[in-house]
Formats: sequence, structure tokens, C-alpha cells
Amino acid sequence: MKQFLVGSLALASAMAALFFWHYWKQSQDRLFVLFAAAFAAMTINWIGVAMIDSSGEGQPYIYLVRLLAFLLIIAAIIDKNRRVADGRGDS
Amino acid sequence: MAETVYALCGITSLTCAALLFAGYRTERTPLLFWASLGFIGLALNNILLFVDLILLPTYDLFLWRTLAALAGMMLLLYGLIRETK
Amino acid sequence: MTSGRSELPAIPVEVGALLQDRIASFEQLLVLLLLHRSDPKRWSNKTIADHLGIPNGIPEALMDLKAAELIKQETEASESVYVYAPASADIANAVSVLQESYQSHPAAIMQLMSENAIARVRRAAHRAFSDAFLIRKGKDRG
Repeated sequence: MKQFLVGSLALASAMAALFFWHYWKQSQDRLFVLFAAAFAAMTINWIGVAMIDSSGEGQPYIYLVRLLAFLLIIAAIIDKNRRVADGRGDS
Repeated sequence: MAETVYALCGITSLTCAALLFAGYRTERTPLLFWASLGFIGLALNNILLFVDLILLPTYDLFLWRTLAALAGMMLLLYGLIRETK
Repeated sequence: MTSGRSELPAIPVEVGALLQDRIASFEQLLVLLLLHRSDPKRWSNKTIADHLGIPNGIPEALMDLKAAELIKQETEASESVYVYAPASADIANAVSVLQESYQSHPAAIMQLMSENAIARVRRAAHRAFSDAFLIRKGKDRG
């Protein structure tokens, strides 16, 4: 059951990453490629959780990947705001 | 360390949800509505993970936090897919 | 959508650009073509509405066409009137070609406009998502 749920999460994250990637291709807005990378990292996160037994999330390998995912999102937000402050918004 | 990471992730997710929902109130784009719900689901996952790690031996909130994340991702995907029609 | 796309002729490049950049709705197209072929006649919202058979008039279309630098607004007897006023010779040329294209192949024009509308909504959604993450709003959004 656990693996089924976490596997679904991995697939959902991968799909989200693909959609954001597609959005980036269409709009050339850097925020989207960063979100795509973040959700790709979350995919790896969920795969890791599925592979490890109970309380997998306490393991450094797992939470560091998740940290990476959210640092990418924070980077996307900061980058977006700095780009707009500097002048033109999207590239 | 793990707790700090999940707390940070929870705060970031909530921030994203809040920004997206504020954007939805201005622009009324459906994508923003569904995405904000998606990030709330992810926030719940992170927050419950944080709680879980602190209360570790007593409770295991695995089912709740995983379902929260899954529900969030479904809503986010729904919003993303809608836009490609 | 029907599958008759292979039958539709290609649309001239300048017309495609004009439709993409400056004409967002079918009402705008009809108003523009009306003002173009009746140039330099001046029309008010009401006379356009009566002529085209649109009951409530098309004030938004007129505003958008004015913003797109295709028509001009003037005041006549304390009423707003509009006249065809392309911003450049290139635009004027494109509108003429559009008039011909629309008369000979209206379906192709409408299909392109429909596709543009879908793409426009999608782009707007992407932009709305991305702009939601701007902490300080009110910047020039382009």
C-alpha cells in the first residue's frame, strides 16, 4: 500500500515536472524550468521514500533531495522578482 | 536537521499557495486556483512530516501526509492539464 | 473543430501577424473591416451596432481597436465617433489584404482567430501563474 501511494506521488510529480517543462518551452519564462526541476527532484524524493523502509523521510538522502526541490522553488521566486526589478520581466 | 528541512519546505509551500491564491483573486485564472490547492496539499505533507518526526515513536502519520500530498498533486495536475486544451 | 483544415488556403504572413497582434475577437474584426471599407466615414457605437446588428453595441471592441492603433476616436456633437486610422503604412496594407482574405476565405480567417484565441488564453494563464510569484505588484507587466 505504501509503495502504491508513494509510487503514485512519484508519477504525479514527474507529470507536473513535464508540464512545467512544456510551459517553459512555450513561454521561455525561467520560472517554469526551475519549477520543472523542483518537481523532478520531488520525483526522486518519492522514489527514494518508496525504496526505503519505515520513516524513510528521516534519512539525509531523502530530505536533502526535498531540500533541493524547495530551494529550486525559492530560487525561482527570487529570480522572478529580481528579473522584474532589473527591468524587463520575461526573457 | 530533517525537521528543519521539512519546516522550511512547509513554509515555502504555504507561501506558494498564498501567492497563487492572491493571484487568483486578481486574475481569476483557474490554473492559479488549482495550483494553490496543490501547494496546500504539499504544505500539509511537509507539516505533518515535521510533526511526525517530533512525535516519531508515538504516531505515524504516513497515511495522512501521503494522502494530503497525493490530493494536492492531483489538484495541481488538474489545473496544469486544463490549460493545454 | 471540424477536420477540414487541409482544404483551407494559407493566410498571408502580414495578415497572420495583424490577427495575432492586434485583433483579438470576431467583433473587433467586423468593426475594423466595416470602418476600413467605409473610410473616411465616422461611426458611433450606436450606428455600428445598428449596421452590424449587434444589440448592445461593442464598446470594448472599439477600445481594443483604438489601443491596437487601428482606429481613432473623435468627438462629434458631444458624442464619440470612430474612424479607420491605421498607425502605419504596413498596417494599412495588412488590413487591405485582410479585407480581401476575409471576403474570399472567411473560414480560414476565423479558424486562425480561433487558434490565436486559444493560444492567447494559454499564454495569459502561464503569465498569470508566473506573475503570481511577484511579491511586489504594480510593476510594468509589459
